[in-house]
Amino acid sequence: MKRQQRIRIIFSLLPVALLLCFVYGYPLIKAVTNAFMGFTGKSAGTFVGLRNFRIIAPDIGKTIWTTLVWTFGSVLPAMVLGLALAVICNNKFKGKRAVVAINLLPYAIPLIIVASCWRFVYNSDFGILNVLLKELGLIDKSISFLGMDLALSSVIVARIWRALPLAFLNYYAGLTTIPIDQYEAASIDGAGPVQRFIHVTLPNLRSVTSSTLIVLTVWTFLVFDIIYGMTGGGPVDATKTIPMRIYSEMFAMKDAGTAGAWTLIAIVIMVSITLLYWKLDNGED
Amino acid sequence: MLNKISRPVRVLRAILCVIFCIFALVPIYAAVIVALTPYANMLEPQLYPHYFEISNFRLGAEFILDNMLNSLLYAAAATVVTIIMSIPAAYVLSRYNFKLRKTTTFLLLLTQMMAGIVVLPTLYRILNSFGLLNHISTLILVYAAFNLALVITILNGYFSSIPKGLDDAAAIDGCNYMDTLFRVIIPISGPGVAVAAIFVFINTYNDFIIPLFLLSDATKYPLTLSIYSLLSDTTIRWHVMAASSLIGIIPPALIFMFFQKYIISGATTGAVKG
Repeated sequence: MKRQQRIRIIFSLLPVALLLCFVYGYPLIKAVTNAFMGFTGKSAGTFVGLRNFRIIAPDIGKTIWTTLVWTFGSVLPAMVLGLALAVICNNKFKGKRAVVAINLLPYAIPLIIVASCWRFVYNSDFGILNVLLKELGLIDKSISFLGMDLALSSVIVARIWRALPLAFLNYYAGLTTIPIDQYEAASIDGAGPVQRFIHVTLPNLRSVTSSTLIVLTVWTFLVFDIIYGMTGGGPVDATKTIPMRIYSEMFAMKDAGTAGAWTLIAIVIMVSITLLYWKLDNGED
Repeated sequence: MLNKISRPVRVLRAILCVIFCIFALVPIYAAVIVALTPYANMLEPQLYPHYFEISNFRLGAEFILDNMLNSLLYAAAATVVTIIMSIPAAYVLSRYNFKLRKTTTFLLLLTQMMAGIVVLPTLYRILNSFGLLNHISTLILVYAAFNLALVITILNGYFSSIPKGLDDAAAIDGCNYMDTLFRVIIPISGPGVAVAAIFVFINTYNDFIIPLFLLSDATKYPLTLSIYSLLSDTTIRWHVMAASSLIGIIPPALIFMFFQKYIISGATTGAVKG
């Protein structure tokens, strides 16, 4: 019986394990070792120590800064807005179903189409945002939203648009789990709506907030499609986050070594966030 | 909720709802305007559609339909493969307490957090050296790999909620292991399997980065890659790009509408990536 069980476990998990090792495990190990190997010129195929990191060193500070601005500049507003919308939708009112459905729509769309649609908003000739601002008399000349100065903010707004529904859904589900008698008790103690929100709603949403924050953070910092489709990392390197660096080192510079170095940086950040998530998720047992 | 909501609060709520909806619809509205504009008039500023060039949608459809069909086929194939691989794995994880169980679930979580850009450039080099690029079967397996963790997690949750006593009862009735799994457990877990399938389908249909690395043959492109080829043209055919983007949205938008209840239940686990 015991032996039979072991055979069952092995045979059930083996196909999954093999596929995941080939698609995730092997490339990850390879990328990490590549980070310390040479791929260009004379050093091709030899161990080069930290040379790849020295090559990318001048860009590391700026890239990590861009990645942080991109990540938290979009995750935090998306969560605040998602919470606001969830609080609004926590009551019954006419048209609520339509409001929920419309606000879920951005979550259904392929990221590359998100990029495509936002380019119609930002275009400097016919983009609807420029047309609107001109119509309102706020500007005379078109703003170049995807130009050097504004590109990062513009892609961040597109990311907020996409991430808001996920935050909304999590908070929306979280709000329904708050026991109603806590609100009643607070009301009896004379708490107004604002105080009830601060002392009852927010504390009850703590675990939803931390899990949403972590999932959105990991996925946002590794998002590739939106930036690739809207700016390609440019102009120059205005929107070059870590994923864009990995891509350009690998395919523009054709250097698997420096690409590996960036990948290693990404993995370290990602694994630490996942460990944090795991700790929170399994905190009780 | 508790006390009656006063009139000013109701008005404020209505205003906020409108603002949220406008924000959610702006990019799609912008795409609709462009999709209705003849190419020659493209540079004309329009706040609302001035034209009604419906033939753009014919151009868009002609451009995108084959690739959309590819996408739907890949998504269906990836869904079947992922579900078949996940069912036994999730069942074992839900029923047996073995030594590496915790490690296995942690590694699965790690792959779920991992985005394509971390592994795909290197996977591309590996597959290239084996001559495995540009094969549909490779593509489907990689799609499956990217969704396995999610599906196993969802199914594990469902299977765990089924009392073990049911397995024992089935065993007493003479069911062997496979009978129990396929004739008792899976039929009860119908909704769980359905939810998982919906998410794999949407994730695969929406994915861009996996085929970006694995396919170079344009006839095999899924929808997302051909939309990107429009985006990256030197002279962008804006009208075709807008029309085909809007057409491409239809399948996932329909799935979201019909299965909204399931989507909401699955969202807490971050089931649709990105």
